Amino acid sequence: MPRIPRGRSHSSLPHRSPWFTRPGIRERIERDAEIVVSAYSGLALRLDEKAGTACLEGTLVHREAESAIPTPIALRIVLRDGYPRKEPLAYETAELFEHGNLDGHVLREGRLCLWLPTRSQWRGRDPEHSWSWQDRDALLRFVDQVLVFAERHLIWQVTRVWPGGESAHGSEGYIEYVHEILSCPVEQLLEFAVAFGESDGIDPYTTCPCGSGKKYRFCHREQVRALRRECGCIGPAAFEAYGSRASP
Amino acid sequence: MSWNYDRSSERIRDHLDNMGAIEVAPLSRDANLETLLTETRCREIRGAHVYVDVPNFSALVTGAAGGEMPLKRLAQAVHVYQREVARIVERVELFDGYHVHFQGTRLHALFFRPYEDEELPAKAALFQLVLRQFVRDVFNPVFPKVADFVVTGGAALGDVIGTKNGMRAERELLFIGRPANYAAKVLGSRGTLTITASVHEVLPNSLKRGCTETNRKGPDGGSVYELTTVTGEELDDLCDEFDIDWDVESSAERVEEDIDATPLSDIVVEDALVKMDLDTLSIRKNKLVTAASLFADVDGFTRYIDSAESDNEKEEALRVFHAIRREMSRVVRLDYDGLHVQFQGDRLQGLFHMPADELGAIVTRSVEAAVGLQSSMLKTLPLHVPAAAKLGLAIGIDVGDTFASKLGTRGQRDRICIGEPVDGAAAAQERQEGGIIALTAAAYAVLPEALQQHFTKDETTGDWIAKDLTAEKLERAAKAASYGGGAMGVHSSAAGAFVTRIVGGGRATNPARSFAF
Ligand SMILES: [Zn+2]
Ligand SMILES: [Zn+2]
Repeated sequence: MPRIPRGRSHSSLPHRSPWFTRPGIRERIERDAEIVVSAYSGLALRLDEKAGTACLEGTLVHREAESAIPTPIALRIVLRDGYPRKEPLAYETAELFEHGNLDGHVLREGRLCLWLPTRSQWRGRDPEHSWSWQDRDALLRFVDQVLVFAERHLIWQVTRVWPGGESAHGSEGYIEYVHEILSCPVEQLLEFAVAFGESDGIDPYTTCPCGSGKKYRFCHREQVRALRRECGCIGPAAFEAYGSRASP
Repeated sequence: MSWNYDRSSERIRDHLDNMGAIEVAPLSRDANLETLLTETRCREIRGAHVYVDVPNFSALVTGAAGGEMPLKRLAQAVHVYQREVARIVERVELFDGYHVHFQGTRLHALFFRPYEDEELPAKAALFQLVLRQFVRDVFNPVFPKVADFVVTGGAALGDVIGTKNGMRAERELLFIGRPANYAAKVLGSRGTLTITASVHEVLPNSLKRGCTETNRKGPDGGSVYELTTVTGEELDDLCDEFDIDWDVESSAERVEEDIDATPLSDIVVEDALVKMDLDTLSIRKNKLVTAASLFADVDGFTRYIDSAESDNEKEEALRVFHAIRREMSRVVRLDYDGLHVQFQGDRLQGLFHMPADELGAIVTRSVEAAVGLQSSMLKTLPLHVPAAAKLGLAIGIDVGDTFASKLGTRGQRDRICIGEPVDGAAAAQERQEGGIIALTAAAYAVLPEALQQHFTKDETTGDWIAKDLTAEKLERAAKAASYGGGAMGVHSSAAGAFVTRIVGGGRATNPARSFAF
């Protein structure tokens, strides 16, 4: 079985209580889990005080339709210190899924890549979505999304084509996102690239790469800096590669 | 209608619940097997199994498909051949045996007694010699325009278990166990008459003298012996020795009578625009259809039943057998509206010919049925008969012109299909092991791409194969199109969870744009 990272563990500090025993947190977890388990009876909440881990574990039985063949999927939904604000992580633990094949959006240790962090539905960042961790049924909606993901992975195993939308892998996925938010031609996007290095490499008093004629400082700087915070540092090579793919 | 997990599981359970206790006992008295044997009253029968084939019939169907007279002549030849051969097997003054059935034009005959009878192996050998003479000196001269037929035969000796399938209209006696398989597998190249070492060992000297050991190894690992040519006079002497009252003249007379009773003008060979009822066919009414043939064999079953030693184990094996074969037949007939042609031991022969003349749709349905069969074998049968998990189905499919009819007049009548695609499907199945669906190149070529994508070419056989292809994989491929259209419905209950294209009564969930680092 692949090793699952356990979030921030307090086991090295034996006298401290685990994170989920802080006031209100345990209640929130138990309430959220109850909603999930009432819909997915194969999952159960496991709180391990010694290890300081909290997860929903068990089997989700997937069918293609109401009375179609059942496919049991072994899952672990890890709740991390910072829950509910911090997003849970979902793992497939029986290697029914192809671990490590990024085309199937499953990482080597079985973690499901549900979305680009900047498009996290949990954090209410996906413009096409209207829920977030603040909703009462957030954890259930999260597991629903895991079920939909599972079906898509199973479809992909047959067709080798990921059904529905996907972002490009790695940095390219972030650039794709930046490109979409800035919604400018590729040539201009490449001029913005220097803003995603170690520091913002665009002189605030030059004309903004967007072509508005305004100074960068008074045009796109704030938006670009916000994107930079969201996406992290993206090297110039990744932008170049993106550029050459986008305009062959 | 198509295969459905819950429905399949329920009907298997219902069948097993209503089956009652199975009894397996040695055959201890002379009895009419057709009334003695039932699904649960099974008998161990010691006897000699013989397969006799006239392989050229299939090619004739292809050759005759264009013309009315050649087809009628072919139909007449098939029926007349079967009638005289069945008489030779069954008449008391002749071989006093049992014709299990015709598989197309291939006969499976069984010579048995409820007690030790040393004449059984002699009959198994002599019967082949008589049939060779019959075809050469009676049949071929009467049908000079059809073809110059040559007989190929094989025989093996031992115990099998006899049982019957449950359906009244389609009742068939079934014999399972190694010897029945061996007789079919010992069949050699065209024109050879062969016996296994088990038959040879106990053959009387007068027949042993006419045998030569071949360099082939038999299915049982022993030597294979070939019966060499005997002259007409020698055959007469052998018939006298074993009290077989067969001779060319009387045989020819009976054949002439059959022909006079059903002249070509009384014979119809027509196509079928609606689904055929094979049980209404006869020498007078035959069909020629574009059809997909499907053979599904339970790989490992003979080994499984032969390894059963105690009565309990045998009874359990029979229960497993009946659960599997009943479900196989139901998938073909009920889930995919196909025709159940016959069981050949633990092998099912099915036929699909609707919608009439739509080649792609016909093969699609047969492939979907094959997927349904694999789904039952891998997903639902193991829920009720755990032993099924150790067995697998090997399935072969081919398509083309197929002649269909029902042989005989009374008693055991056989639904038959003859044609190169019938042989092609059987051969494709025989080349594969459990879990595989094999399509001939002709069948693969007419499939829609959506189904083709599940098959890969097997370079050694040229067939297109898929392993463990079950219904959910087809459903998944079909479901890919549901994505990309906005919110979907998530439904969950104790029985499982599923996603629907429209939200309906489900929880609206917008598939995320997936990503990977
Ligand atoms: Zn700008
Ligand atoms: Zn078999």
